[in-house]
Amino acid sequence: MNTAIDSIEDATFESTLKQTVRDLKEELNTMVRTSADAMSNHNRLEAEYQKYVRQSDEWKERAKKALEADNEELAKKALAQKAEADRQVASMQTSVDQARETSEKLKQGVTELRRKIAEAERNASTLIARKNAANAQRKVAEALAGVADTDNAFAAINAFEESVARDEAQAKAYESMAGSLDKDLEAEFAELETSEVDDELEALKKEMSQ
Amino acid sequence: MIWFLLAVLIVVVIILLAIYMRRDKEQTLSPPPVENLAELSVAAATVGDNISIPGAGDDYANLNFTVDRKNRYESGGDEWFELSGQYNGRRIHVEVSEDDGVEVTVNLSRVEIALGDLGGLSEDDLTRMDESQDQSESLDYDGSMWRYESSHEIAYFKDDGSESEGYYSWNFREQNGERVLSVEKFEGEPFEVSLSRRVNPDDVQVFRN
Repeated sequence: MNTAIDSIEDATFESTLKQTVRDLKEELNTMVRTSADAMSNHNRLEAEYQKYVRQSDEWKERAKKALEADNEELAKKALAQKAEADRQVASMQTSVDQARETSEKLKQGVTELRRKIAEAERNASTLIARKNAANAQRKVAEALAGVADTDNAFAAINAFEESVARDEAQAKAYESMAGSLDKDLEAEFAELETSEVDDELEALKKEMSQ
Repeated sequence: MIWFLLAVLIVVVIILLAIYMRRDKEQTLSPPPVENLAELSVAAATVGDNISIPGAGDDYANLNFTVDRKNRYESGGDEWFELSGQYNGRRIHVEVSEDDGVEVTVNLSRVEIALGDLGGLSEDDLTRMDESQDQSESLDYDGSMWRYESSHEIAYFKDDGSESEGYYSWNFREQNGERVLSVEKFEGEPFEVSLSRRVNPDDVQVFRN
């Protein structure tokens, strides 16, 4: 029964450890998904931001070309467009920076959690190995204790053997006693029979002498 | 008294058997292994994934982009693919091949390179290299020597579709460096030169939602 209980305890120990690691991995997956969302958001904002930066550069180039062509009015229109693009760039700057920061923090979080899980997995493996080693040692100790038990068993058998030998000796003694009793009885009967024969002989002699 | 002890023993045995059977059932119905999103290989990356490569961006910044295209290539029985997305206002490409392990090259499309920039390389030179396939051939560019590696026709499957477009490609590897120069020629189009840098595949992080 102890073996069964130990076996259940071992299985519970190992499965609890494995479940803990599984739970951590689920948590990591959630963090990766959150991080992926944050990265997508940042990349989208960054692309939008870069589009306005490019537009600003393009309107500046057009304004230059207009001035080179002595077309100041056209240059002003181009610069007005550039100013609009610059406003967009400025308004997006904070959002892009925040999105980048969030994305980087989450990525670092993923890296850190991944490192911790790898460490936890290593620890779990070590703990299971130590538990198995302890169980093996315990079994060896139990086996050695079993050898001591067998010594006791052999001693008991020897005791039984001596007891049987004693009984056998007693039996033999009784047998021999019984044997001597029989001999006495036969001798008495033999004596008795001898006396009867003598009597008959005497009687026969008397009968013949008459 | 004996009957009472026997009854207790039977109850204990039944409880232990029930625990054993439940444990066996739990082991049989053990949950499937958790999908490890944190260990996704770049070889498994696809459209919608976010790629992050530390130090592979402009001026050694981190390269971050969302894959919005995945193109496939085939040549002489080999197959590889390219992940593409927007980075710093331009389209960039990450090529992934799995010949002898995973190899990843990043093309940031940062500078436009003309054929004439490659140490006076001419179309005749390219034809000669292709015919001889002589890997002792080389050219000079950006202060480095670039060894001719291979040239072959490649089938390009846009968005991993079934229709392909063929083009010819010459590859040069930087001696004592991590960069690769590719000269490409589509039919009816001028020569195009692109510069890629090899990165450690283990450095590529794939984030999937």
